[in-house]
Amino acid sequence: MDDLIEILRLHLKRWPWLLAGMLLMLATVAANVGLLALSGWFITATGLAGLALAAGGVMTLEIYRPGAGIRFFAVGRAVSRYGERLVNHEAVLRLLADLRVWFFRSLLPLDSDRLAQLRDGELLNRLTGDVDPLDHLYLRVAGPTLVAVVALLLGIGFLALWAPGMAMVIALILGITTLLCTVMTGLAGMAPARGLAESESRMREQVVGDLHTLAELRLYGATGERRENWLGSDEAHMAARLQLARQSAISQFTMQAAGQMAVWVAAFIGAGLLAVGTINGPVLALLLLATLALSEVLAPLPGGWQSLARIRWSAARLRQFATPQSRVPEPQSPAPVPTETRIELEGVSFRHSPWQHWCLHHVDLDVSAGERIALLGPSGAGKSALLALLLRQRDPEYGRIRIGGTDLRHLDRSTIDSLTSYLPQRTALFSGTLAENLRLASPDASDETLHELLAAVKLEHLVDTLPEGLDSWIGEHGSALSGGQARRLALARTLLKAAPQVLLDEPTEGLDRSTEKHILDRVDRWLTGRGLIIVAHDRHRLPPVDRVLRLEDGRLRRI
Amino acid sequence: MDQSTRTEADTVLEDNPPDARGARRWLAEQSRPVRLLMLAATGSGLLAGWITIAQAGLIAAIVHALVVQGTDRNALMVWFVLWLLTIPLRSLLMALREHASLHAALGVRRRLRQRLSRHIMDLGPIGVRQLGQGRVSSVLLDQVNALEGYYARFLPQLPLSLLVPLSVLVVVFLLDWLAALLLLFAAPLIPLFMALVGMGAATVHRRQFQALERLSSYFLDRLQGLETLRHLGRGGATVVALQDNADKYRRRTMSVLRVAFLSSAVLEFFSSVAIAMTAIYIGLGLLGYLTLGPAEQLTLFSGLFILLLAPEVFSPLRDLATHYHDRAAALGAATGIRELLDASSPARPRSGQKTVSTIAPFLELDGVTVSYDQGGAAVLRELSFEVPAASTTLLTGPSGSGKTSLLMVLLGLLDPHEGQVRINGIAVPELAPGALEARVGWLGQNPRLLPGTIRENILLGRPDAPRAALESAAREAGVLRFTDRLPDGLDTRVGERGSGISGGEAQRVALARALLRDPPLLVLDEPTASLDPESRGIVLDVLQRMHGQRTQVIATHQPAQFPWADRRVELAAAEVGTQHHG
Repeated sequence: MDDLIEILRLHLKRWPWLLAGMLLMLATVAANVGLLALSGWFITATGLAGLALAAGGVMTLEIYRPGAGIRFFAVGRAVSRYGERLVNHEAVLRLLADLRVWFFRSLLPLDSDRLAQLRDGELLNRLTGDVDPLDHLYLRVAGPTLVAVVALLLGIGFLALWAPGMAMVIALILGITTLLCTVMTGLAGMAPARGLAESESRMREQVVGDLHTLAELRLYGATGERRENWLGSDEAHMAARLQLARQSAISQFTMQAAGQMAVWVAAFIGAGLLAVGTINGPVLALLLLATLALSEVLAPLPGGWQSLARIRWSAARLRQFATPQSRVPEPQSPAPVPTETRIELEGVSFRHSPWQHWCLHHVDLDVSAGERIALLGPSGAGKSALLALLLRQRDPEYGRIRIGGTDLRHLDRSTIDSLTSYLPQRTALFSGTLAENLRLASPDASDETLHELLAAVKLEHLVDTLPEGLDSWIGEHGSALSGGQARRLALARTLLKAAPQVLLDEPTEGLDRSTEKHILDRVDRWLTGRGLIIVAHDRHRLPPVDRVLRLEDGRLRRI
Repeated sequence: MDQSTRTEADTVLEDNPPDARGARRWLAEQSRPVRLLMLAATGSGLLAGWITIAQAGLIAAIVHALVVQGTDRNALMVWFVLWLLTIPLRSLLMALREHASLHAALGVRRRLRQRLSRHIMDLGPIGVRQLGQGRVSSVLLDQVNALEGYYARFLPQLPLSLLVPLSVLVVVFLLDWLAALLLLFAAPLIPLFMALVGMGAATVHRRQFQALERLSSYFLDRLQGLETLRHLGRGGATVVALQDNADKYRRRTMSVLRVAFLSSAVLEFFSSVAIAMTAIYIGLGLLGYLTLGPAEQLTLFSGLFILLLAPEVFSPLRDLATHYHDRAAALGAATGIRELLDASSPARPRSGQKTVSTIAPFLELDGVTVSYDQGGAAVLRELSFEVPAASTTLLTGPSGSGKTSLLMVLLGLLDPHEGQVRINGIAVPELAPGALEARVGWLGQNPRLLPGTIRENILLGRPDAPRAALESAAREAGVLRFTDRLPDGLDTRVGERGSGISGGEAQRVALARALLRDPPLLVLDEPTASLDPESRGIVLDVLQRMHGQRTQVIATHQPAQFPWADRRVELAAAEVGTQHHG
């Protein structure tokens, strides 16, 4: 239930829309009941009056007011139904936007490890698969249930005006069946709803992951087997889907039968009341038709409650994902932004997990502000880990790291981000233009600056050949660029960000020698007055630096 | 960034004229294999409709007998019991209808997923990249599911929306032809209005579908790069952009719905007014105020019967209208699915008989020209060279010169636009399916591992390999050097794209995978580009040892790493430009 409270709170913020939607739903129901009941009364009354007239009797029947009433209910039903659908959809779309933004916002403070998981197929599944059905809480569950309860109470009260006993029996039949069906489908639907969500997300993960590795799958003849996996998940999904459908068919079957039974009971009891003269003929018709129209309100309830299981499951998964135990807790009262960027490591030890080697073992390092350092060493030696520690993506197991004299653990994340500009090994580009991707680092950068920067990373030829220059579209995650071009664009973006400390993780890997040399000769201009820590493999392929350090077996050595 | 998202989305929308007729025909074809189930659904729906008519007749008769004739309740017991019996029967038929139509919908879905998944595998990495990975997975996953409502609800309801009102009208006609005329007048107007409104709704719905797709890919993009955005200080700005985008989507959707709901509002209005008119006509007729036509013959039985039937003329149409968006969604999805199915594979399926021997082959390239787009700029132009058997050939050239494309051609994942590739003198298209794949080992720049254990990844190309072969491949590729340190050894799980181990370690796993197959031809794309010295040393070592036993083609920026190579082919820079997507 906890999982739903957060979702409910988001719902309540939109209460005027929701209330308007429910009132319009109620108005539609009332108009429908009114139309049928009044018509039935009118026909029977006129029938009796006609017979009386034909028999030569005198009978006065006012026909204008009932006629106007019938027309009023008829038009009212159409208008309120249209309004109800528009208002409810508007409400749901607003809710959906709220839910998506809420989810995105709740991810913002997560630590890097958690965010790294988002890079792959799981992500789309979480968002479209789990966020979207949350709005059903109102549209399918809360809204129809509230409306049905109110309508049923009003309707029973209306019937009780003429026949309290009959109203009681009908209330019992409809009330008990609805309660039973709703609770039963809500509970029995849990397992298949979970199966449905799980198989769906499994298939999505499989497909998205396999599409990335399609070349390998083709060449190693594994496509058939992977395809079987996809279809297997789909079969599981369909099996859960059928199970849910069977349950909802049973409850619909029961609900429909109960509605018809209520009409039958109304007729049977009404016949008795008519015989003893408690009610007259027109009222009998009115009661019958009112019951008929009323029982239709309850039909969507079991189906709606069936979706509650799915909603709960989705909400629980989102919450579980968005609230992990952070390995790098934010400080309670963050220290002020340091005025300079001297970096000090004091007896720092770090390993990725308790069973692995120490990447860094009692490492001491002092980098004065503006100093340039190159970090070499075999892969897996912990060079990237050192950068991760400086960015406080992780905390060292022992020792401390200070920047400008302040312990990193006392700085909040945005301060550390504002002090550093970091090029990771795996960079993210965004759908958009070249200029937009660059300006993420500095929204006010002029076109001239961007051109100069692109020249420094040897992309000016690319910009010149593109028809729209800086405003050219670079595709989904920069997919219109080659791997090397994407790497260089990311490097340019890192250089553009105005932060006093630049951290580059193998910036020229995968580039050919001439491009690499071109870039290494030109980055200097963009680093003026800033500190640099560059991770590389080869000491002969570096920009000019003050010190070269080698990290091996957890220890730093100067070379 | 928002601005260009918008402009691109808009051009896409404008440039795609709807092929609604083609989409409809295609949707109808898909239902052919499940038409018996469809028939069962429609049949039970029709029977349920007839029972509803009978129930209305019973109610009218009972009320007439009670009110007009003053009959005692006990004398009517047979009718009450009969009515009671119809209640479960009708519910049963409705349940049957649901069941049959859902099975039909799932049958269509199963067939389509099988076909689409096969086609996607045939398209291969190049074809999927050309279409966009996000789009391909969205078609396979979301758009196929979007068809369910059409087959489960709309299509079975379509004949019912004609047959049930017609049955009701026949009964009403027998009771009072003027009332039937009244209803008949309202009923045919409804499909007319619906068609008018529906035509617009389908187009707008298709647009909305695309907008939703764009919105989702925007989300994906921003979330995948969330860490980068945060580091650049753009977290808050992105929240605002997401909100704006969602608002834009909402406005777009609401403009669709305002029109789409109009069709059901029209229906609602006509059915309400027709019921009201019928009720007033019957009332006045019963009072004797109306003398035209059959009005004088009306009784309470026939009047009440007609009143109870009047909503049944419209309720099947109303059901159809509520399922109208299923149709619109299906038409939108059908367009996406057909586009994917129509996309031709960049490498045509091979249907030859010839195989490649296990001895190191020789390759000949003859005037090979490759371009990704029809009539687009060529990535490779009229390239001819030979690779002797058991030689090592280096491909060099600046980035963007087409090295990777050439490797894709050699791997049979991309057909040259013009020219030919021959292996041992056999043109690639003459090979049997899988013949080339069985003899080639591949190592890319970024090793791609599958989620699973390291062992499973090595066994990918040869799942039945004996344990000794697996271990020797793992040892040779230096995998054991790091797995020995891990608590689970070779059974350590790695995530998508090899997360959990370093790039160099992943490349060694990929190398072991290639070695296990013992292929006579090795195709490598910058195999050492992002490796640490240890891993690089291992890879180079293995390749040098294989030199002279296997044919190797290696694309590289650093030819000096392969001093033992026999030949070098330098590719000139082709025009570098952006590829077109969508």
